[in-house]
Amino acid sequence: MSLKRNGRLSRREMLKALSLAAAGSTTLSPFLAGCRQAQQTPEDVERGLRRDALDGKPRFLIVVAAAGGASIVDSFLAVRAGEAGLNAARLNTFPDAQVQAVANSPFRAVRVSNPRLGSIPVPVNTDQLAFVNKYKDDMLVATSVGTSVNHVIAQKRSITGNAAWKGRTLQECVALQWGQGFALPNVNMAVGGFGERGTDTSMPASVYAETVTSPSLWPLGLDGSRGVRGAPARAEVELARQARADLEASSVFGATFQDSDALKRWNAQRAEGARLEAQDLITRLNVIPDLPPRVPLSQYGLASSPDGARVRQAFPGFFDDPFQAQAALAFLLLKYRVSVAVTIGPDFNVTLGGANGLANPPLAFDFSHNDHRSGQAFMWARLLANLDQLITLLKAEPFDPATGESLWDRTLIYVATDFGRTRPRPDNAVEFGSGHDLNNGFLMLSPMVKGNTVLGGVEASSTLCYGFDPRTGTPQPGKLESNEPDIFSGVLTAMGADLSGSGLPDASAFKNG
Amino acid sequence: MRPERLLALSSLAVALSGCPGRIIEPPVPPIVVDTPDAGSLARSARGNLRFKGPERLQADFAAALELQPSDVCTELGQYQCATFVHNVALGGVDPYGPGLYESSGITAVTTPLVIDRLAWSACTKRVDLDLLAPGLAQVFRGVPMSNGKLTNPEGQEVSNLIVDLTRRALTRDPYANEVTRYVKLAKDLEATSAQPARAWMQSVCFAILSSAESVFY
Repeated sequence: MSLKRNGRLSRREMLKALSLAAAGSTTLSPFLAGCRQAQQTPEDVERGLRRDALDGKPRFLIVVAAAGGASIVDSFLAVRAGEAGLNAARLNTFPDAQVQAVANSPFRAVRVSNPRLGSIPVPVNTDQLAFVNKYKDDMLVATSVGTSVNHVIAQKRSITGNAAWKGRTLQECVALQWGQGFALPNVNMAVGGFGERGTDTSMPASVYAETVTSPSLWPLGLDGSRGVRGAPARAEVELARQARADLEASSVFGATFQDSDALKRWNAQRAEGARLEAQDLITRLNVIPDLPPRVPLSQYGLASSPDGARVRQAFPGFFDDPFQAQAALAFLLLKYRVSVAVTIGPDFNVTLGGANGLANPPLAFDFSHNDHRSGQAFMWARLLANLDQLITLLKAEPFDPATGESLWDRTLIYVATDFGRTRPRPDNAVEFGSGHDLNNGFLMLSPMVKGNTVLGGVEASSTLCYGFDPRTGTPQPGKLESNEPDIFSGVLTAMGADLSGSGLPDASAFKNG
Repeated sequence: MRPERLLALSSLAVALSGCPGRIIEPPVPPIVVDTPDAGSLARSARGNLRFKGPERLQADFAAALELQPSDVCTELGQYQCATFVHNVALGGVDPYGPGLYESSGITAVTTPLVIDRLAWSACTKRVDLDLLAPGLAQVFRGVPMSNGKLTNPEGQEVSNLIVDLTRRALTRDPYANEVTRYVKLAKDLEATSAQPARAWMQSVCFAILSSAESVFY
């Protein structure tokens, strides 16, 4: 390789050098992960700055958006009246028998029985014990103090850690880290602030969420012509597209607006669309069955997903209950390697269905304004029932036959929520309303989190949660400062994301192993 | 003006219009514009293109093809594409369900596919209506066919139809290279399609309606 007189490489030499570099990186790439591991100093390991090996395999994040304020002291950190002393009657404590201990676990499980849900004549009979017993080894609860009691703002902060990393959402971070090569790395079906984009606009367009509002019917839009009655056959469709492409390549419009970001994005998205069609996602992601006349799939040349039957069995209310439809679609998006980050969650609307005729109360967890205890119990039961079905599907799905990993082994479920609820109640009231409170906690579920663990704790005399050291996990009674970045970092740390340059706090306490 | 004179003038105007209550515009002769040299075109300095969004797209497609907006596209024959199933993919909002009060302002990965579906659906609807009742045809008319094929793909009638479709969808006359390319498409389809004339009508309509020029402003 020689230099030009001016000391620079000639174009040919430059190409040769780049080729050599590319070949070298391919050959060396298996060793680079090892190098990365080797770069960790004993001090890093001691301080908990662990980095996972870049094994090239994706990890998945499911954000379950518990809209309205899912209270951690109405579930896994509930307080018994007998523990709260003199304040018990005026705080959100439970009769001792309703707060069940979970064997060999720091978690608790609440049992509630009430003949009605606020003014809605629907009985509420719920018990969280079975779920906690089943999943405690994959459960982590981290206490939290937020910075907003406005729903939309708090929702967004629960997924950005209050702009902990350049305003990126967790889902965008995961899509950036593991979503390369995925058709739709980040799919978001949740409400309000949970559905918003982050504020870091410097990332590739593909990491920003694809918003889905009608999960049962949305897959129909994953092909440009199939299912359109009377549309030409695929070969003819491609001829028409080719004619369009030929003309657009030299069109006056294209030449005039060639610098337009919108047009550049549009052309790139057209190419992505072809990838979606090639994966037959209009079939694979289609949960709905062929049920004419309501759902005449076969009459339109369409079919249900090969996994349709078992997904519908897990989520029988998929057609009428958006949350079940979202969970069903979330599983298929992961199974078919379409997405690495999926966000689902109940919305604020009434949904009819289920055993008692009501699947979702108005305002979801925020129904607590009307009837805190029953509202929380109802919504936690709804959430946990669907999580149970989703995790069961993920556990049954092989991920890598070579290692025996299931899809669940590489998935983290983060139950995000707006905020907690205020603790006071009228003396010994069983039916009472609550407001928004910054003090709360978050549930995470995954084999990747430090299971059967509570980070932080509850001060029984006030039922307020106190904080913890995110690196060591040491409880810090009396700590009530905001820790949104700790939670944000905890999710990514548990997943083994590369946080280089993020400035995020060390949250090694969240990680398994 | 005296009332009887006003009445007489009004009657005359109606009589001259040829049809009471409807004004017929004189037909504009088909025009094919010379293809400009790409190098001679000035780039837009701001390049501020905006996507039309669900309501405008549905209305424009309907107006171009003389369809009712609700007939432009339905999924499985019953769920409205633009206003329900694919509303958000087309840049719409959904305040009552997911609390989506503002459009993202940018197109999504699935948007081009949804546009294709809208275009195929609307074009197929119009073509089938016109071929079913040629005497009442609104758009696809006057093109000689035999045995499902265009009698003469290079004929003036085919060119006129391309002009008409371009005017309807893009409110301009076509360039010569566009007419040439769509004539080539007709020949390509003859080799692959069982119903080449119908497929060509659908395809030209699709290519124009789903073009970037049609969906941005």
